[in-house]
This record gives sequence, C-alpha cells and structure tokens, in this order.
Amino acid sequence: MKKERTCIIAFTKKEISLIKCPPDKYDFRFIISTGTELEGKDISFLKNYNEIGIVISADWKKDIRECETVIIADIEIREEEQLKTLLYNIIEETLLEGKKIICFFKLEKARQRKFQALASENKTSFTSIYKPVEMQEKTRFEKIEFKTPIIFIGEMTHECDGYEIALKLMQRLKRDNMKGTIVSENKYNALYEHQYFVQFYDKYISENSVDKIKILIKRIEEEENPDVIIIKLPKPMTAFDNSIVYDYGISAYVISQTIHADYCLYCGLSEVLSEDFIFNINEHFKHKFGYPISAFHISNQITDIAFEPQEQVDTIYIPVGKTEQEAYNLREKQGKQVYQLLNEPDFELFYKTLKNELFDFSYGRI
Amino acid sequence: MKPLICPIKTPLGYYFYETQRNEIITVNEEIYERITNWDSVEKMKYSERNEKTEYAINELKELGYLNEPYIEKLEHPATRYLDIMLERKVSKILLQLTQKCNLRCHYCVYSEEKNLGTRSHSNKNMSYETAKKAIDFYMNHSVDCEEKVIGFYGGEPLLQFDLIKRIIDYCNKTFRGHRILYTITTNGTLLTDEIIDFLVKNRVSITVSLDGPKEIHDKNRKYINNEGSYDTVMKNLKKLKTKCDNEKQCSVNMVIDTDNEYKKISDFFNEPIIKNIRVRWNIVEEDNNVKAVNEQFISNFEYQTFLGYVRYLRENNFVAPDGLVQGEFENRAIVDSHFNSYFLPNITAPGGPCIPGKLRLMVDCDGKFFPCERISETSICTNIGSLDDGFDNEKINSLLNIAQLTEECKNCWAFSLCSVCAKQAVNKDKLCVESKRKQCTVSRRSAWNQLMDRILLYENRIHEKKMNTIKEGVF
Repeated sequence: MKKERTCIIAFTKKEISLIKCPPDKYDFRFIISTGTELEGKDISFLKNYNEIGIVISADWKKDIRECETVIIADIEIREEEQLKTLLYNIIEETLLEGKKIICFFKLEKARQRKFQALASENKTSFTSIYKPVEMQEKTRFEKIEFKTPIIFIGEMTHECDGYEIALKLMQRLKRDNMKGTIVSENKYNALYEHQYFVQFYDKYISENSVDKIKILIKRIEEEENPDVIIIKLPKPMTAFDNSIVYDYGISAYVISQTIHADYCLYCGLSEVLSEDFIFNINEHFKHKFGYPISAFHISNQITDIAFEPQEQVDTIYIPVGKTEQEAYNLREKQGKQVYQLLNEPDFELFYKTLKNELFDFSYGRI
Repeated sequence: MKPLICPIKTPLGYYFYETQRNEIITVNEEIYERITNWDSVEKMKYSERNEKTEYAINELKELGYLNEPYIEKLEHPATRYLDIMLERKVSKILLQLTQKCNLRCHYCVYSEEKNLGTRSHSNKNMSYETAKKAIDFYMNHSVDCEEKVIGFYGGEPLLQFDLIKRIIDYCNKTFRGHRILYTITTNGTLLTDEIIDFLVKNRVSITVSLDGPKEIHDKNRKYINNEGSYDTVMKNLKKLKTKCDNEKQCSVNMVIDTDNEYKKISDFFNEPIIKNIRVRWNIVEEDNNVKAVNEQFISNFEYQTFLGYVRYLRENNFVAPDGLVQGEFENRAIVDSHFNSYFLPNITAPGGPCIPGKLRLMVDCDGKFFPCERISETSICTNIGSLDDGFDNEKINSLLNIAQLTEECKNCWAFSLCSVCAKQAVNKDKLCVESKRKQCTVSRRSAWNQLMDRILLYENRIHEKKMNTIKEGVF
C-alpha cells in the first residue's frame, strides 16, 4: 500500500503512540507543534524515552507544502482564541494547497461546512472525525456470547501508556498473521483499519449500558471476525486515592460485567507497583471485577508529590530505563508478571506469555 | 517506648493526635489518663493496671495507633527524584524584572532602614536577553507541565512594562498550545488604561497591594516623597475592576500591621471596591520572622473565627463574620485539607519545606536563581543556581532537607503538620540550627491550633446530632 506523506499539527504527547505505531496508510514525516517550545526536539523528549529520531518542527507553512495529508490533532482549547485562529488558518491554507485534511479538533457545524466547501472547490477532502461508532438499543434477545478471546487493558490513572500498548499489541499480532481489533474511546482509532472509536456510555451509565456495550462488541466481532479483541477500558480502573477518584472505576466495572476478560493487563505508575500492591490489587480485582490481573505494565511516570489535589493525577516522566529495572526486579526476583512494555525485550516476553495463555491449549471444551 | 502522639483535652472530650498517621482519635477519660501518664503506667505491673483500659490500648495498637516513633531517617520524599523534577517539572517561574520601586513602604523587606538580611532597593533592571534566557530555561525544564505559569515581580514590575510586553509576546509564541497563566504583583500606582488593557487582554492575573482604609494604607505605603499612595491605588483598582471581564483576574494583597485596630481593617472588607475580589493577607515581617503580633488583634481575630464556626455549625452559613476571617475559615471548616490520613514511611521529612526551584523558581535581575520571592537574595545558601550554570542540586538538596539539621524532629508530635521552611533557617550565608529551632515553637502553636479547630468542629457536629456521649473512634 502506498503511504501518504502526512503531517500532524498541534502535536502533543497524546500523538506519540500514533507515530510510534503508525496506521498502514500514513507516513508521518512532519510533526508540528503550535508553539516553538518543542522545535528541534526529538518526540521522545515528551515522555523521556530513548531518542527515536523523529524531530518536531514549528514551520507549518513549509511542511504542509511537502505533505499530502494534514492531520489536525485532537486538542482541547479552552480560552486561547489565538490558537483557534491559527488552526483555522492552517486548515484554510492546507485546503487551498489542495491537500487533504483529517480533523480531530472539534469544529462548529458552520465552520465544518465552510471547510468542506473549500475542500471541494480545491478538489480535495476535509474529513472531520469526532463522532464515535453508533451504539444500538437491544434488538436481539438470544444470549450473546463471544467466541473471540478478549483482552482488557486498564489503567491506574488517565494515562499509563494503555493506548500505545494496545496499538503495539495489534501490530505484533499482525506480524504473526493474526488480526487484532481495538475498541477504545480514542478518536485516533478512526485512522486504523479494524479499530473502533466508541463512546461506551452516553452521558450517564444506565442499566441499558450493559446491553448496548454487549451488542456493540458482538457486532464488531461479527463484522471483523478477529483473532483477538482488545478493549482499552475507559477511565482508570479504580479511584487513585481519597482525593483523586476519577469515576471510582465504575466505567471499567460495567464493561467487566458485560464481557468476560480472558486476559487483563493493568498499566500503573512507577514506584506504586510494589509486591504488596500487586498482591492487594489482584485480590481486589478478583472480587470487584471477577477476574485477576494477568500482567502488569510499569509506565515510566512517578506521581508529582508537589502537586495540589486536582481532578487527575499529576505525574513526571522518569527515564524509561529506571522502570525497566523496576519491572525486571519484580519479574525475576518476585516471579510477578511485570513488564515495561515500551521496551522491546519485555514486550516480546509478555507477548509470548499472552499467546500461550490465550491460544496454546493442550485441551478444551467445544 | 512512649508513642508519638499528642494528648488533647477539651471541656467536652478527650483525644489524641496520632502523628505518624495524621489522625485525631477520640477516647474516654481513662484512656486519656493512661496515655498522658504513659511512662509511669508502663512501669506498673500488668495486674495493677485498669484491665478495661489496657484492653482498649491493645486494641488501638492492633488497629495501628499509638505507634512508637519509627522514622529512621529524615529525608524529603522528593530527594530521590530531585534531579528529574528540576529537569522536567519546574511549575512556575517568577521574574524579578527590576529592583526599583516608586514607593518606599515602611515595612518593606527591601528598605534600606530595615536591612533584614535581604537585598535593598536598587536601580537594577532585568534585560530582555536575561528574561528571554530565563523563559528558555523554564521551557527546557517544564516539559511535564501542562500549564505554564510566568510571574512578574519586582521592585515594582510595572516600571518595566515594555519588557513585560516583550516577554508575554515571546511566551505566547513559545508556549502556544498550552494553558499559559501570567501573574503580576504590583503596588497599583502605575496602572494606566494602556497597561490595564494589555494585562486584561493577555489574561494576566493581577494582584494589587492594598493595606486597608486610607489612614492605614498611607501610614506605610508611601511614595519616595513621603506622600501616601491610597488615592491613586483606589482610582486604578476601580478602573481595573471595571475592565476585567473576569473578577477572578484581579485580587488584593494586604499586609497587615497588627498595631492597627482590628475593626478598621475588617470593616474595610465591606468596601464595594473589595466586593467579589479575592483578598489575601499576611502580617508584617520583621527580622525574617513575623513581627511580634499585637495580642488584642489576634484575640479579635480568633473570636471572629469562633463566631464564624458557630454560624457555620448552627445556621449552615458559610459566610464568615468578616473578610479577614473568611480565608482561614474556609480553609479549616470547609476544605480541611490538613488532615488527610496516611501512614508515614520510615524515611520521610516534616511537612514544612517545598521543593526549592520546582514550585516557584525566582530569577533575579542578574539571572540568579532563588527558591521563591520571599527568601533572602543575599545569602549564598539560598542562591540555588543561575541561568549560566543551571541548578545547584547540592544546595537545593540541603534546603529541601533542612529537617536534617535537627534530628529531634523525628520525635516531634507536630511532624506532619510542621510549617518550618528553609527561609526561617537561613542565617547570613548558612543554614542555622538555632534559627530553625526558633521557628519550631511557632510551628507547633500553629499545629496545635489546627488540631483544636478540627476538634471544635467535631464536637459541635456531635452536639448538633444531639449525641450525649462521645464514642471512641476515628473521625
């Protein structure tokens, strides 16, 4: 497949997973930040990884001329009118250059229509993606069962590398000629084949939620016929502490009651995943969610002890090598299934265990 | 060994504060007597002791209370990752744009007469090159901060308005895509329409210094020619308030001299100009410490706080009786953030010090680094680096771990509520044990007040529920 030379604008650390595990169709050549803060820096700087040789630019005018497709990132703008204006200018200039736009940044309807008109005038396309796959009410009454193995990826905080690991896992399965389908609340799923951007719940979780999710996942299973379904659970799996509670893990809990997980990966912060913690959380999960945790990933983040309590945990990225050692110690010395999954050798080890657990059976019920 | 606790008795009940868990436990009189006379009872034979009380004591121990002091080493939890924190998450930068000021406030720590061991007023200004270098430094050391916070400080920072404009322009380009918060602390005398419009447009959070009614404000806050600044500040503050779309954008900082009459200051909070503006206040400093406070003033303050609690408890009215009390009252009665319970680890440090350089890095006119704007700029030990040489991690480490100066902290009941910071331990060019110890009394008093307020709230809630007896348990 010929890849499109693609540029990502308004790059933040949210897009790193996209660049590290790119969709088949896109070749991310130009990574552009809106401020000059990151200009000339390797993208790994944002998450304190080892350098990967992809450098951030701030010269959007030059870069959009050299690419075929521009992706406008999924950014949230609260007060900055200047940044909005800049993004509108970028979109306009890109379309005038006849380049294709995929926009994840939320636009008002009127502005979308304006850009779509401008795109057709310039014989190109403007796609605005922020609508999830539609959920259906219950219309089938037979018992829904899943024949495909299902992997849950859950997190300790709002961001512990869960999405990146899901993408990595899907790509690794592909190398073994297996098809993995990811279902998550990440809009960027729309860029990949066999991935679904869903919103598991409408505004509130209700008694219908369980049925709706079940039907959705069944539909995906029937349409895709995948070898594995990877569900990246929305929101952290438990409250972090007394002050940062997220949704107390309710979202993750409801999905757990809907679908049985055949394998569960828990992604947590460095320094928190100790031997005691692993034991306690496993017990907690068995009772609350109905399944144990199969493996743990240690993200290279520590909590920022100096932060004031707010809605979500504030973290600092430590060098990834430090967490590799931490995972090694817990795995080799304590015999726990703990990995640093952004590290290739660890990932391979994890993958081998996961495959054994999900596919290599000596016997089974039919 | 005696547990690390603080027994407390009030007219309505008996308690102990468990230091290493930061919890207050209510007990009956027998247990209170037992823990107060810990050493003598421990010497008694078991058969001579009150059986029921001993049973309760053992039960408390099993529940993880009445811990002996177990802290082995005084080390701030940030020590291990200090270098990474300073490399990636400097939360705020504060630029000293000038050391010049157009006022000569009597209590100013920079005044030539006071000479409180910090710098004096001078004509030094920060150059644009230094400011840009400081912003670049901040940019390279704040990659993990979603929000970028840049503060303008002085002297009087508005004397360098053109520099502020250039810095904001540069920051807007550099940090575009982030939430950027600018702050400025000004004496309010130079706020012209042009300046206000610019600050409002760039959503700069503006703190104006205003000490109270005219006679109080003008007593201290004077121009070089000895004229009071009240009329100008009020005129400008009115203008500022009108132009700010968001009232949260401007606030007032009051420096209170407790020699003034309490009522005159507290009544000032009813002035229309102050309405809906956040007012912070602090007490005049002397000799690196708070000035010896007027007892009458403090007693009035405490009485009003008490009235606030009564109103809160009886009428569910969250509005404190006067503005002076409001902040303190909200903090204690509503937010109550001091009593998060936890188990202290065996390697830890008292609650006081911040992480120098990380929380509010101050860069002076010459590009030298200090932990904040309130610390001495002339002491070698508080100069924690420079734009040319970067952070001096060794010095930062010693400021962070000032607790190591006084090993006795390990056995202090106020360990978790401690408010002693490095600033108070600085004596000329050294961190001094005696200076630090001097602050311990103040800090313990503050910790005691926090405990008493918490208990006051508890006892009143109990009575609201018409409970006649206080049961043992955690609250």
